[in-house]
Amino acid sequence: MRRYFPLIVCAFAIASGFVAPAVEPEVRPKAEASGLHAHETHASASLLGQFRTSITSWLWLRTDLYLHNGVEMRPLTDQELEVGQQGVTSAESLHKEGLTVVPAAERDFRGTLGDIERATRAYKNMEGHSHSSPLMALPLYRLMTWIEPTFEEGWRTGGAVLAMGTDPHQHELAIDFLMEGLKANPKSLMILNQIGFTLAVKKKDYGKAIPIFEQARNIGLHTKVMNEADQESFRDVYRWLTLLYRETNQPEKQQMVATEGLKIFPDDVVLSKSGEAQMPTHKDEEDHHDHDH
Amino acid sequence: MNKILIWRALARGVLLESIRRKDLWVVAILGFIIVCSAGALGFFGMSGLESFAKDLAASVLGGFSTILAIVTTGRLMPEETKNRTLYPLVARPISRFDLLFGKFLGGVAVAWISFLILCALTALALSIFGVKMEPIMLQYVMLKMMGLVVVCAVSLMLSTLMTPSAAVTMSFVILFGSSMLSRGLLMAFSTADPGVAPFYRVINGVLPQVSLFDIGGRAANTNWRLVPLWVIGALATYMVLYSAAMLSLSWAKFRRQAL
Repeated sequence: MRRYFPLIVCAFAIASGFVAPAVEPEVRPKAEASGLHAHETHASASLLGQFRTSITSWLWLRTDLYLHNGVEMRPLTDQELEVGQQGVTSAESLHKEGLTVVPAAERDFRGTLGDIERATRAYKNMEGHSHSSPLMALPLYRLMTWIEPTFEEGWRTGGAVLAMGTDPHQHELAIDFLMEGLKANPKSLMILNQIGFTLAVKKKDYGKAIPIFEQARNIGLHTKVMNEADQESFRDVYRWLTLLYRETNQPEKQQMVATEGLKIFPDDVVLSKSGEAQMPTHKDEEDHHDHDH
Repeated sequence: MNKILIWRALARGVLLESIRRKDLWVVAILGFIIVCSAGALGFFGMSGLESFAKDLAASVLGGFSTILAIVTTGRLMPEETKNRTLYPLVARPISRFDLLFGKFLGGVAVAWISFLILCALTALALSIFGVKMEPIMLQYVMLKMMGLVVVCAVSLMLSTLMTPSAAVTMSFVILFGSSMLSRGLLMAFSTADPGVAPFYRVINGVLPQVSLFDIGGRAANTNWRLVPLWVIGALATYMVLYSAAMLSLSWAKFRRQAL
């Protein structure tokens, strides 16, 4: 018996490995991956860039790097924002994207050493820059979401990057990718929102977009605790639904959704405008009727 | 005796000692990890992942080779003292500077050989996946080798000041932390008073600028031009000057050290 003791212990160890997933939700609760969010908001986090422990977060940041062909960008610090410094804009949008990590000569105190760094690192003036083909990033998004299927931000951004541009095939790829993400995160407002956006804006398929947003609305209404990102997605769901109901000429539903949304997000300008826009429409209709009479 | 012969003999000794200690086995194991990781990466399809594969290769090469260089050079002098093998060496008609410089050259040789072995294995892994080799990669290898000289010089200098463990730890902190500190200074400078520039310049000048030798970002991504010759010349000058400064500090300590 004593001879078999190590084997028995090993067998128990292996068996415990099989039941281990049952305790995973307790020991490793679903948490927001510390990815781009920290990178965007904290200068200290960007300083520590490569020392992040999460592979997913690391891949997330690398993806951003490859889309800029290796030119490392950083967010503006609070101090820089205070003194009114501006980030660079991309050619595709007027959205400010921060500054290059290797500074331009006029922001550099190092003289020749700075010139050398600009010549050895991937550096160029990024004002009005363009992005590398988003298709090259797809395997990375696949990799990061394979490692961490609950990384909703990875699914959402992967879908958004894939849907960039006007190629319908890419839009299909984006939808497929997001649907895969939805399977792994069936209650993800973020992913549903992105699917709805891609259907509505990229594919102009309002008929398919509305049920997706409605599904998100339903999930949101039954969710008691939401993080900031989910709240933002939930707000977007209401915005998109009011716009889509307007586009599909369903004023009652538009009004109902805008009113419901305003109860949850009373300060939302888009929803309140959408609600106001609805009122004159009714009035216009009455005026129109009066006029007819 | 011809100085070059002395230095060569000492460097050869370091190399043989490294082989005897099976340090190169560590390189082989690390290389095996690289090839296996590349295999895992291939699982996701390499189409579109070329930049990522090259970037990963450059990061792994840079990290592993720096670690090996630090660990090899950081224990050279303290172990000679601890094992008492230093005494027969200093009893010979060679100066302490020759001893130090010969050991330094040996450390550089081990670091270079390890790096080149890792490079060969990485190139093999990349070629299996059809990643194209470009001329900038040769520049990457050349500049990285120059950077390793600075790494060895810093590590050797620290090893003459403190215990091997402390020297290795401090080398890691200084060599990996210097780029972060430089970056922090640059970020701080963007909103600082222009009058602080000389102060920042001094701090930055003291720190070893090893990251300047790393053109992995260019090599990994597409359509980057080769690094101009004047930059390579400037980096070679920096390597010589900074290493000379480190060796001078090491010598200043070692020549007065009671054995």
